[in-house]
Amino acid sequence: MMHYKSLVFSLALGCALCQGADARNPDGTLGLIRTPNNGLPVIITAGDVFEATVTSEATLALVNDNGAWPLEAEWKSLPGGLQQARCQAPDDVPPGEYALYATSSEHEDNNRRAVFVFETIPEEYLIAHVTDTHIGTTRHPREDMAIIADVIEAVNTSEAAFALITGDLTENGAEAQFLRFMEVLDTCRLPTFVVPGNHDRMPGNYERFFGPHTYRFWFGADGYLGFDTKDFLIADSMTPQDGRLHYYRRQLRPARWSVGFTHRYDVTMGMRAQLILFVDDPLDYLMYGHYHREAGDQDGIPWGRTTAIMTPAAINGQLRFIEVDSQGIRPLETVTAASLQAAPDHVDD
Amino acid sequence: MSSLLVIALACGIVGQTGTIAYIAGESQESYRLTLIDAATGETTPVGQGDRDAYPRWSPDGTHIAYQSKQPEGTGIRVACPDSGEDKALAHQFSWNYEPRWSPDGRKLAYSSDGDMAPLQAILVYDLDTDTETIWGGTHRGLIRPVWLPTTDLMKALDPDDQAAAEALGLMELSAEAEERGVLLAVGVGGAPPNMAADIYIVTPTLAVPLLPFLMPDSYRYVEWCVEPDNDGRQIAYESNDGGDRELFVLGRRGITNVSNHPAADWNPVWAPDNNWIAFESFRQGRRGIYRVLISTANVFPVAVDAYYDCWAPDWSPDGEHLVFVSDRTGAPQLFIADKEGKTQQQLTKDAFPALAPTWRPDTN
Repeated sequence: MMHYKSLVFSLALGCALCQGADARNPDGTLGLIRTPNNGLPVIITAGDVFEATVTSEATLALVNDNGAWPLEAEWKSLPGGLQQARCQAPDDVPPGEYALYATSSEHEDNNRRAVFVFETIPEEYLIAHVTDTHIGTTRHPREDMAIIADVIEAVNTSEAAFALITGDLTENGAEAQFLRFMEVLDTCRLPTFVVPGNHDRMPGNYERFFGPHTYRFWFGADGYLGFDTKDFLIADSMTPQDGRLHYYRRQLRPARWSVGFTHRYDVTMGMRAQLILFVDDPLDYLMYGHYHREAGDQDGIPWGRTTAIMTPAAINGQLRFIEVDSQGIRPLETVTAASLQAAPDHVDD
Repeated sequence: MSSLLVIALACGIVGQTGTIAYIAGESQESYRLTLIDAATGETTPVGQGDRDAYPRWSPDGTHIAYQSKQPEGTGIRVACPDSGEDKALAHQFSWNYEPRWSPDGRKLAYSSDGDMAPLQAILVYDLDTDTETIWGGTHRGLIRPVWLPTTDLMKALDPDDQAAAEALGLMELSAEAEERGVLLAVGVGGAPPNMAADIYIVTPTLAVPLLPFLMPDSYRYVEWCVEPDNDGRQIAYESNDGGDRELFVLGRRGITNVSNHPAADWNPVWAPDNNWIAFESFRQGRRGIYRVLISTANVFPVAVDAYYDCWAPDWSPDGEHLVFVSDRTGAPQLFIADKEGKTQQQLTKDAFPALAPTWRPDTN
């Protein structure tokens, strides 16, 4: 039962939403709320604590068609002028998909598909691995959005708990392509975690639409680490990424299974990142795409015991489901979910 | 820490002078080699501005070698800030990475995809003759070369038994090193999934693993970031020997673990006096900058915080200050701290990243 203060807030929130409280900025980029968002959501159960990052302190709530649940938040300042809210979900919030709503003295924002409340976090579950959606390409006679919509529909009709979408979301990283990608992304009824690929590298656009390149999340006892393998032209050891990879990898040490997901693995990727992820504290699994084909004998990680899982491109109509339980992570056969009206491409891009 | 920063900004008590080369740009595609005057904050773009990376000053401080985009791949360029000249080396191969100057400033060594990609080769470019040569003989899988300033350390490796030395090829290695110079590099070897990385001594025709001379089980570990001191009498390197990544120093007293902490320790950078090493560590959670006195292995924090990272330290020529990168204000920016970390000053204040700082040598 909501108390009086919550009821007043909900009425105010309802009025705000009726008056057209837009999600994100008018151009579709992240606004007041940076995370969570539809590419970097949080998965919780009722009563759990989660973190949100906003550009200024705000009143926060979980919102869906059934109502609004105000959030209590503890605030902390972050580098770059951002504010981090440590939020506790109400004990009575029902399972389901929620937008995170925020209102500050100057702005309001409404990140859809940002918070997913599960009844419980299962110990055995299925993941959908989608990669290389290449929204904006004209490589096939059938329209890109139609192909990816079929792939997402296959995810929606599965028993998967969430989807990992590992880069090359767009064909060349243009704003319009990110907007179209989000249009099809938001047809997904599951939590969707995205990372950038080499095709998404138009300056700054990925960050403007989805936020950090490197992050981690827990799903029950399992730890997931998303990261950008960077353009291999560039030595990624100059940037903050190596430090964050190590920091997050260390946080995930207690995980039952530690799972990396990224766009690409290549033996020539930055050596420091390989030491972190495959040598000093090896991930149990690494999921990636990029190559638009099934893994062959030449693929895999030469450094140790990390098992590579490579999935063909969604723009060729394909995806993979992966079973997770106490015995490990097992990739299932590739699923072809969409007709291309042509032969699939076989390019390493 | 933040109050110290404010004090430093208000009073200008850091007061460091000199020129620092670094990489600046909104994105990888626009990264550009840039100079900044540490006293005034005035910046000067120098590089070609197309994926510039890894700047290194020549020993006399007149030129900067750096990695940049070339029509097919990445090449090494040499810029002269005083004249404005910026020259691309004439490479045999498309992909070339991370240049390092020879002690006399007349050669550059770098990794290259070479003739057996993905196994990289070490190439040496003679700036006097504009010729490029593969070093290490037929050995491939060598990366991240760095020049050994003298061959003093190699003499310590020589077995007493001359026959044994000849069998190991040390006589030939020493003779070639004396005549033509010598590099240290990391050699990646072994068969998947049991790959390893060891430190190699590299001359034009030879590549010999270093640590097995001193530590027979060294093949079990993965070494990285080998850095000789400024006189070539000690070598710092990283290894996962001991369970996590530690810094070791190989010197006249043998091999010593100088960082020895359960958290990872990375990227050793020798101070000008060869007594201290600045490095990165996660011992307080986030990546921070520390320094260690080699003789005692006592470690001191320089720039550390629970909520942001500090990395890529480089010493001032007088050894009194460190320049480094931190994301404490959002996008990574350059900061200068005195070596004890008591005063810190933000040097660059741009909306886009500033990375990979390197202090110009003081040759006066």
